[in-house]
Amino acid sequence: MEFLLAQIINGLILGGIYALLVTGFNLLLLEGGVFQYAYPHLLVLSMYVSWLVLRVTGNNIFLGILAAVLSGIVLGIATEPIFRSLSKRGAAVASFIVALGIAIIITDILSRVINKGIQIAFPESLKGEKALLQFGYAIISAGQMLTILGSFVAVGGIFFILFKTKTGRAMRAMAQVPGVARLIGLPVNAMSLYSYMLAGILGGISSVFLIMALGSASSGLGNTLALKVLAVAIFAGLGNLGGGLVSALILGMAESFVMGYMRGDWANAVAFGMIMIIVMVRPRGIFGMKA
Amino acid sequence: MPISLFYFLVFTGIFILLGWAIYIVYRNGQLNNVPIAAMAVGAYICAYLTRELHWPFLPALLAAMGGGAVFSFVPALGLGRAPGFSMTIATIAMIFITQTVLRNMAFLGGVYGFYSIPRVDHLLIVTYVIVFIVGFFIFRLERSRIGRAMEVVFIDTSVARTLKINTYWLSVWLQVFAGVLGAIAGVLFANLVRILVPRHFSLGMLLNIYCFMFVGGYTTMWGVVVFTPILWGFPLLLPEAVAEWKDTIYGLLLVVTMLLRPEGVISKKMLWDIKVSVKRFFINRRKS
Amino acid sequence: MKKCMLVIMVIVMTFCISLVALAGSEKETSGTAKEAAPVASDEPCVDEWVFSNLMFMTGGWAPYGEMIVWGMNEAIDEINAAGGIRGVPVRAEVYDTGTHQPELAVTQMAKVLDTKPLLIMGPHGSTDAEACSQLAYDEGVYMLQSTSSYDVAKKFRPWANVWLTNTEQFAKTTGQKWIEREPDIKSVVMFVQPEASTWYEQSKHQSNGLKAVGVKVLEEIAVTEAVDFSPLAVRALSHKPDGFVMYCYPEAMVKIVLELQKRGVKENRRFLFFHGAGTPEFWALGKGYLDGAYQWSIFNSQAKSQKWQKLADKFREDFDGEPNWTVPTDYDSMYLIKKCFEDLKITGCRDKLKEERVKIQKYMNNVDSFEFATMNIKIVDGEYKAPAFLYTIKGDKLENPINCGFEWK
Repeated sequence: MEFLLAQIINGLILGGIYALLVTGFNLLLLEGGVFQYAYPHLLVLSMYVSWLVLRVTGNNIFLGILAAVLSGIVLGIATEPIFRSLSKRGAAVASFIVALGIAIIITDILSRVINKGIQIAFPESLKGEKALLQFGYAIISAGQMLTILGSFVAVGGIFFILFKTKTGRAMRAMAQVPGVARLIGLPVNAMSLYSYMLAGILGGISSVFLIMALGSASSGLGNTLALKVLAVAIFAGLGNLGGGLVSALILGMAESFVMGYMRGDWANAVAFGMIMIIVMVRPRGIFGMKA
Repeated sequence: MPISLFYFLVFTGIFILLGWAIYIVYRNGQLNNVPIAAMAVGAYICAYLTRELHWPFLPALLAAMGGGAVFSFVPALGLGRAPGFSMTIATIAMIFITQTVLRNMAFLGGVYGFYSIPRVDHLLIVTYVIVFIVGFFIFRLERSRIGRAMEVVFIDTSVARTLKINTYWLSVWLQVFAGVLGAIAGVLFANLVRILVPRHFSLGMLLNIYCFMFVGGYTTMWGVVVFTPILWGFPLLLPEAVAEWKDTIYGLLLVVTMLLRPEGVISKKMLWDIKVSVKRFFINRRKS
Repeated sequence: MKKCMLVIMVIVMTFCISLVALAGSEKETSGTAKEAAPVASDEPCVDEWVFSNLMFMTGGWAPYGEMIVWGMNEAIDEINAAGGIRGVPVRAEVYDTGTHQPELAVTQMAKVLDTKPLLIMGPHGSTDAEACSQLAYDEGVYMLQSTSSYDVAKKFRPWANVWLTNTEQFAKTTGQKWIEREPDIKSVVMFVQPEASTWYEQSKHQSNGLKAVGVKVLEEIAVTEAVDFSPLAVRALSHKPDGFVMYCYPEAMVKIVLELQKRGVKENRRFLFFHGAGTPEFWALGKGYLDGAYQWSIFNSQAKSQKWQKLADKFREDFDGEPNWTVPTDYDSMYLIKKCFEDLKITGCRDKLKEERVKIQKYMNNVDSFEFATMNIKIVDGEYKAPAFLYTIKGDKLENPINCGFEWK
C-alpha cells in the first residue's frame, strides 16, 4: 500500500512538470497556430543560461533565477519573427519542421559548446533536495513542492489572463477566428507578440522550476521532454488547455506506474503504445482538439 | 570503385526509399513514422531467412515485403482517420515497440545483434534497380485516380469527402505501401551493413529523412531524389572540422527552407516551369 | 523561369561535383610517398604518418570523444617533440561517427578504408563498433577499438582489440570482492540499461558472480531515459534489498542513488557502480553524496608513473576536473602504435601494405609487456590483460583500489 501511494505521488509530481510544459506549448499552438516542438529545448537553453550566470557570479541564486526567467522571455520573443510568416499562412506543418530545425540546432550546440558538452548540475541551494513531506516511501521535496505549487499559480495566472482580462479575450478571439479578429480591428501582430511573451514568461518560470525539480540538465533533456509534451498534448487533444492539464497528470501517473510495476524494458513502448491506442480510438484526443 | 562511394550510393538508395515511404503517406496529409519500424522488421526477416535458412535474395526480399505489409497494415487500420500530427507521435510507438520486441527475441540475437549476414551479389545494381522500379510505380500512381485523390485530400479533406473519396481506405493502403517500402529499405540495409542491432533503427535516422524530404520538397517525389544525395553527401565531403557541425547545418537548412520556400526547394510549380521551358526550348530550336 | 533553371543547374552541378569528389577522395593516409626511392628497404616511405581515428564527436557522447581525442593529441605532441615515429612526424585525422548513427559510422569507416590505412584507431563506442567493424574485418585492417567493448571486439578478433579487459571475468570477481568486504549484503537489486548491449552483458556476468556466492538477485530493473527516477527507486525498495548494483548511464546511476538515499538508504557501502561511472557528470551530479560507495573499474586512477602524473595535471588544467577512464585510452594506443612501428620497422610503402597490415595484426595481438600511462599491460592472443580494481569513493574520487585480477607489476 505504501508503495502504491509513493508511486501515485511520484506520478503526480511528474505530471506537474508536464502540465507546466504543455500549457506553454498549447498556448503557442492556440494563439499563433504554431507547433512549437522546440519549446522544451528553449527551456533547457534557459537552464543553461542560468547555470552560466550562476557560475560567473559565484552561485548568486537571485541572479541565477533572474537569468532563467529573463532568458526565457527573450528566447520566447526571439522566436516570434521566425514563426510570424508561417503563423499568418496557417502553415502548421511548416512550423513543426522549423521548430524541429531549431531543436536540432539547440541540441547540437548544447552537446558540444557549453561546459564542453558535459551535463550541468545546479548548486545545492537551488535544488531543494530536502524532503519536505514524507510518508513512508512517498517523498515530496521542497523543490518539487514549489514546482507543483508554482505550476498551479503560473498556469492559473495564464488562465486568468486568457479568460478574465480584455487582452485575454482578444487573444482567444484571435485563436478562434483570426480573420474576423483582424476585421473587428484587433491588433493581430501585437497580440501575437504578446502571446509569445506570455509563453516566454511561462517558459522562464518553468525553467526555474525544472532546475529545482531536476537539479541538472543535459543536451538530450530537450528531446526527452519534447516527446513527452507532444504526447500529452496529443493525448488531450491539441490546443486544449484544460484537457492538457488533466492529461499531463494522467500520463505522469501512467509513466510512474509503468516504471514502477512493468517488467522488463517496456516503459517507452507501453507509454507511447497508450498514445497510439488513444489516437486510434479518439483521433482528436480525449478532450477534443481546440486548434 | 572506392569503398566509400559504394556505401554512399547504397545508403542514398536506402534513404530515397525511406524518404518516399514517408512522402507517400504525407501526400495524404499524415506524417507516418512506421517505415522506420517496418525497416527493422524487413531487415530482420531478410537476415534470418538468408543466414539461417539459406534462402536466396529474391524470395527473402519478397518475404520481407510481405512482413512489412502485414506489420504496417494492423496499425494502419486504426490510424486511417488520425489527424496528421497525432499520427506522428502515435507511430513513434511502433519504433519503440519494435525495438523492445527485437531486444527480447533471443533467436534474432536480442540486444547483442544479428551478425554475419550474407550479402547479395551486385548490391549497388540491385539497389538502384529496386529504386527505379519503386520510383516508376510511384510516378504512375501519382498520375492515376489514386494520385488525384491524394492531391485533393492533401489540399482539403472536406472537399475530398464531398467528392466521395474514401479517405480512410486511401490512408490505410498508403500506409501499407509505405510499410512495404520501409521493409525493402531494411532488406538493403541488412545486406549492406551485415550486422543488425535493434537500436540501429531509431529516431535519429528519422530526423535525417525528414530533413531530406522537407528541404527537398514534399509536394513532388523528386525532392527526395535530388536532395538525399546532396544533403547526405556533403558532410562526407567537408573537412571534418566543419562536418562536425552537420546537425546544426541540417537544422539551419530546415528553418531557412521552410521560411523561404515553404514547399521545399523543388515544388510542383518549379517542375511545371521546367517542363514548359524545356518544351519551349525544343520548339524554338525546331523553328529556327 | 530562368531562376528555376539556375537552381536546377546548381543542384545538378553540386551532385556531380560531390560524386566526383567522393570518387577522387582516395587519398593516401598512410603517408604521402616520397619522390625519391628510399635508400634502405626498411626505411619509411612516408613524409608523415597519418592515423585515422573513428570517433563520436557529435551527439550525446561528444564530450567523451573530445576527451579521448585530447589524450591522443597529447601523445602525438610528445612523440613529435621526441622525433616522431622512426624519424617521421605523426598526425591524426579524426572522423566523426556520431552518437548512435550506424549509417554515419559505416560510411566514415568506408572513407577511412579508402585511404588504405595500415591500421585504424577506433571505431569507439559499442554502437559504432557493432555497426562498422565488419568492413575493416573484411578488408583485413587492424582496429584499435580502445573504448568500444570487450564483447564487441571479441567478435572481430584477430582484427580488433580493446583496452577493456575480460569484463566477463571481472564483472564476476569484482562483485564477489564487494560481497567479501560487505558480508551482510545478502540480496541485491540491479539497475540495468537493456539497450546498451555490452552493459547488459556485463550485468549478466556480475549477476551470475553474485549468485555464485549466495547473494540473491531480487530483480533486474530496466532503466531507460527518463525525467524522474523515483518510481524506479520505490520499486527497488519494495523488494527490501541489502544492496544495489548499477549498470546504466551515469546520470541515471546518480539520480537513482539520490532517490534511494532520500527514502532511507543511509549507508553508501550498499551501492556498487560498474566501470562506466566516474565520468565528469557522475561527479558533478553526485558531488558530496557518494562517499563510501563502491565502483569497479579497469582504470588505475592511482597510478604513480611520471607519464600519468603529467597527463593528469595537464587534463586538470585544460578541463577543470579530475581525469577519468576515457582520458588515457588513445594516449596509450598512440604509444603502442609507436612501439609497434619501431619494433616491426614498418615502412608504410604501398607495395608492402598487405604484408605490413598482417605484421601489425600479429604484433598487436601478442604484446609481452608494455608500459601504458597508468599501468603495465600484456596482450595475449588478442586479449588485453590488465588488472581490474574495486574502488571506494572518497571525497568525490576513487580511492583504496583493491586488485581483483591478474598479478601485475
